[in-house]
Amino acid sequence: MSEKKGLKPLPLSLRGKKRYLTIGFLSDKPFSKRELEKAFWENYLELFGSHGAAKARIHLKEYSRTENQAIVRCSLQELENVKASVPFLREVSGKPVVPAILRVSGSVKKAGGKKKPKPRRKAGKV
Amino acid sequence: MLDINFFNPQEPILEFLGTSKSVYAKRFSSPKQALKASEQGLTCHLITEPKRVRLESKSFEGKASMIAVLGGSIALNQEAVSSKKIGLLLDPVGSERLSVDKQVLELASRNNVSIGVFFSGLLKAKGFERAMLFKNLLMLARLCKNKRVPLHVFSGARDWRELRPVRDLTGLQVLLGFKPEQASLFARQARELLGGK
Repeated sequence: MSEKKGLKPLPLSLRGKKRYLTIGFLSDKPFSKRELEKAFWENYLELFGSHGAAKARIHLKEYSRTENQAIVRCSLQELENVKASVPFLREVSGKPVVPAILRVSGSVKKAGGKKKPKPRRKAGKV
Repeated sequence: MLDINFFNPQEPILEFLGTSKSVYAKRFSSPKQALKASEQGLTCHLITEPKRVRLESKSFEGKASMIAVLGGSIALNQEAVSSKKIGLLLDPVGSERLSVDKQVLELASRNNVSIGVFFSGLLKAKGFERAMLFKNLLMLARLCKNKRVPLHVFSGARDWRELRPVRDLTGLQVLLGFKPEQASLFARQARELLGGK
């Protein structure tokens, strides 16, 4: 028998619903995406513990240093807890920040994420 | 939305936070000083001693935009909710022993006294202290729900780092057991506190 190369993707029905939070930051010093993700996780872990953090399925999708905005993906069931945890974020790797939830949406596009490039039109077609 | 802080934040920061009104809370030494500060913006006179609740609520009436009691002890909380001239009791619980009971909240409900909590207290506390503060806040929220007393959450910031958007602070009310709709209603109702009694 041939060896299995990879796992089959999880069906959509089993993935669970998710929401995207657009969070703005007020800070006098810049920080990286990695630093922000670490701070966000540590803050959530301190509030809800490892079980709560696992259930929330937090993932920092995007972070724009120029706009000082981040898009965080989380589980819909834990949305209220994630929203409650945001004001508890005090600093990112020692740099003080003031976070503010700007938007909550069901898709990255609406959350203000990077737009996918439009497919090129085929030559000869209008 | 209305927020209460211990300093006057700059306009661009308030714009970022979506806070329309920020009230400067201080223990003013005299009604004259409160009146002078009120010319520059909204002010809140804080009463911190149980013996002075009745006296200061009369003398500061109309001088500051609002009068509130900064609670913490059993005597101070009891005195604040007994007065009909006080509209807001701030921070009635700390991280130590619980200083409110069913009777205090019943009096607050009867005299239309709202309860306010400063988020900065939770922000500063860490580990065991934060857990104890959460425990006391959960009990306070349960009593408020039972006696139908509005529970507001304010930033209570002493510098810009502690400022938070009031609409995000409703998340704390949800954590304490209120429904999201109820929490946002409390945030909107906070404006009425300025009207006084």
